[in-house]
Amino acid sequence: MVEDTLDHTKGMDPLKGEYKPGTIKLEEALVRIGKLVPGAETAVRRARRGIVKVTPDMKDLVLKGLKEMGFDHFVAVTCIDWPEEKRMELVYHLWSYGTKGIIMVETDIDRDMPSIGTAVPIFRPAITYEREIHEMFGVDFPGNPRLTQFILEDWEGPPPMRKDFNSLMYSVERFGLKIRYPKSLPPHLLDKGGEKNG
Amino acid sequence: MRKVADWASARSMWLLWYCTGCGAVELPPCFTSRYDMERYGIGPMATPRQADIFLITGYLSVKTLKRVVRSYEQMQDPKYVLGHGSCTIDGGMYWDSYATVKDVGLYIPVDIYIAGCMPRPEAIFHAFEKLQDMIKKGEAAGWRRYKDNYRFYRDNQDKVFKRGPNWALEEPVLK
Amino acid sequence: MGDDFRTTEIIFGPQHPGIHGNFAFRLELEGDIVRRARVVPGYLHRAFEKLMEQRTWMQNVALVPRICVPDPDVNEAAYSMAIEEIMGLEVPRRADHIRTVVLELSRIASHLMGLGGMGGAIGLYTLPMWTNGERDYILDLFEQLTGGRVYHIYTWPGGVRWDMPDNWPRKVNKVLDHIERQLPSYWSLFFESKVTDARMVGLAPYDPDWAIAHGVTGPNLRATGVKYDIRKDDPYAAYEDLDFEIPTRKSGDGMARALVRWDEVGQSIRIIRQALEQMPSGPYRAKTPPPLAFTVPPGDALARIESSKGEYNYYVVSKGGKYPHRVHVRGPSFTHGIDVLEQLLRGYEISDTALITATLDVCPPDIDR
Repeated sequence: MVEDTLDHTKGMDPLKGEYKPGTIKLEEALVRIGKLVPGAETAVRRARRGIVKVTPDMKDLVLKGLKEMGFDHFVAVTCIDWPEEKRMELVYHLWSYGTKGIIMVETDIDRDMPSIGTAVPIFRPAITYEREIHEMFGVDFPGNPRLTQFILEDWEGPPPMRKDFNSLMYSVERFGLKIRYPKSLPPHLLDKGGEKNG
Repeated sequence: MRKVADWASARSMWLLWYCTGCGAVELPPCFTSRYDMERYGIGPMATPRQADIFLITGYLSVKTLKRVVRSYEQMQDPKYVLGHGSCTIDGGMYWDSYATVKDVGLYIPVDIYIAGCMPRPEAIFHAFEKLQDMIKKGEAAGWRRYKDNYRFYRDNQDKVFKRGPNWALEEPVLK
Repeated sequence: MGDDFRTTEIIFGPQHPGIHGNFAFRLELEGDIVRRARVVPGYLHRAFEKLMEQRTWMQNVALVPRICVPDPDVNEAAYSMAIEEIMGLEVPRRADHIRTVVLELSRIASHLMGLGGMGGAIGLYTLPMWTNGERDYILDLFEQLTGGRVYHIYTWPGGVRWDMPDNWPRKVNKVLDHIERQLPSYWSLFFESKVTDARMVGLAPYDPDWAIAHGVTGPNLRATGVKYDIRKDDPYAAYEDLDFEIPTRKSGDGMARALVRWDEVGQSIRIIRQALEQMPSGPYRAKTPPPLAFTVPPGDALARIESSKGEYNYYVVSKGGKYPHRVHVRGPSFTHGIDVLEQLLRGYEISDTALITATLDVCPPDIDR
C-alpha cells in the first residue's frame, strides 16, 4: 500500500538548497540502459529526445534504471490504441534535470486483456495517469491503490477512448444530435455498425 | 402590483455564482471595474436559494448537468436562465462529444440564448437589458414553463443522468 | 463518518464561490481541520482527445485552445510544434518572435488572473478588481492582433496566421508601460499587508525532493529553489535569442509561490520588449500543404512548453493521413490538482482549502480535458 508521504501535523525540515544537477549525457544513458536491460532497443530521435523500446516484463527494470541515472521527473504515460495491429502501446516519458533530455520508454501490451504492472512504487505521479488510462482504455494496473472512478460518472458504455467506440453515434442516440453535413465527416464514423460493445 | 414588482425585480437581480464551463472566463471582466455589472443592479450570489439568474456559461457536461438541475430546482421563483455561448444552442464545437449535452433547452427552460464563442461582455450586457425588458413585459416565464411541462423536461433529464430517491443529497462516494 | 463519529464529511461542491473553475472536494473534517481530502474532477470533461481524432489537423487548431482557459496560446503553440517536428518544417524566425510575444502576453494575463484569485481567496477583493482590469487591456491587444479576446486561433503549424499590424508594437509597449507603473501598487496592497503574511507565509510548504517526486512543475517548483524552466532547458520559439532570468524563491510555501509569479510578470515584460525590438523581417509562415488537404507523415513527437501554470506536454502520434491517430495532452494541473493537492490539504483549516488551491494555480479544464 503506497502511503501518503506528507503530514503537516509533524512539522517540516528546513529546505535543503539548490538542486544539484547530474552530469550524464543522453547518449551515454541510452547506452547504459541498452546494456542493463536484455532485449532493449535504443535510439536517439533528435537533440534531447531518446527512445527505449522494451517488452512489458522489463518495464520495471528500465524505469528503475533510468531513475537511478537521474531521470526522476515523471512527465506522463500515454496509451495508444492500435486496433489493426492488435496491440496497445504505453509510452512513459521521463525527463532528467541534470541531463536535460527526455527518454520515452515504449512497451506493447495485448489488446484483448490489457494489463501491465503499476509504476507507482517507482514514480508516484503515475498513480493519476494510470487511473485515467484504466478508465478511458480499460487497461488494468494491478498494484495501483487508486483505480477508482475518476472523470466519468454513471458511465455504462465501453471504455470511450478505444477506437471501437463511436462517439458520434452515441451522441445521436443519447442526446438527439442531428447530423447536418455528413460529407464533412470522417467516413469511418458514419457506418451504422460503428458502436460495438467491449 | 405585479407591474411594480416586476419593475423592481428587473433592476436588482442576483446572479448565481457557478462557473459551469469555459465561458466563465468572461465573467470576471463583467464583474470588475471595466464593464461594471453592478450599475445594472446585478451582483453575484453564493447560494441558489437567493439567486434570480442562472447563467449557463458555455457547454454542459453530463456530470455538471445533474448539479445544474439540482441548483435550478433549489432556486426560488421567479428565476431566469440565460444560455451563454453557442454550446448551449446546439452543442457548439463539441457537437460529437459523448460527454456534453447538445441543447440545454431540452433539460431546463432557457429564456435567452447568447450566441458567440465566446460572447463579449457587451453581448452579455445586451442580453441582460433584453432580459429586463422581457421581465417588465412579463415574457420571461421559463420558470412557469418548467412547472407546466415538467414531464417533458424530466423525461429528457432521465435519458442522460440517473436520479436516485434522495438525489438532492447523494454524491458518489470516493475512496 | 469517522470511526468514533469525530469527523464529518462534506462536499465542497462545484457551485461555490471559493472554487476556481468547476471541480469539487470531498473533505473529511474534524471540527475545522481537514483530515482527509479527495478531489472530484470531471465536471468539465469534453473528451478532447477523442474529438481530436475525428477532426482534421487544421480543425484541431480551433479546438485546442479551449483546454486551458486562462492561458490558451500555449496549447496552440505546443500542438503546432509537435506537428512541425513530425513534418520537419522549419518555422521562420519572424514567426518565432511573434509566437514568443503572444505566449508571454498570455503568461502575464494568466498570472494577473492567478494573483487576483489568491486575493479573492483571502478576502481582499480589491486585488481581483485591479488585476482583471489590467488583464482586459491585454485582451484588447489580442483582439487587435487576432480578432478574438480569449481564444486566438492564431498560431498554427508553420508559423502564425497573419502578420502583426504596423502600429501594434507601439500599443504593446504602451500597455506594458502602464502595467509596470501599476506593479508597485499591487506590491503595497497585497504583499506588504499583514493579513497576507499571516495567511500565506508557511502555508502548505514542501521541499524540492518532495516536489520532484510528486511531479510538481512550473512556478510551484521554482518556489522551492529548483531553477528549472523549459524556456532555458529545452528551448523553443525565440527564447534562445533573448536575455532573461528565472526567478526562484527558497521557502516553498504559499507566499513563495505568489512571489515567484509576481517576479515572472516583470521578466515577461522584459522578454516582450526585447522580442519586439529584435523582431526580424521575413515571412511569417512556412510553406505548408493547403488546410483542407493537410496530411502529416507517420511518426510521433513530444512538444513541451512552459506555461504560466507549469509544464505542458503534447504527444502527437500520426499514422499518415488527414486525421491524427492520438493526441495526448498533459497539463500541469493533472499532478498539482489531484495527488499533490490531496496531500497538501491535510492538517489545514477548511478556509485555507481555496487559498492553497489558488496558490498552486490549479486550472480544472486541463485535468478533465
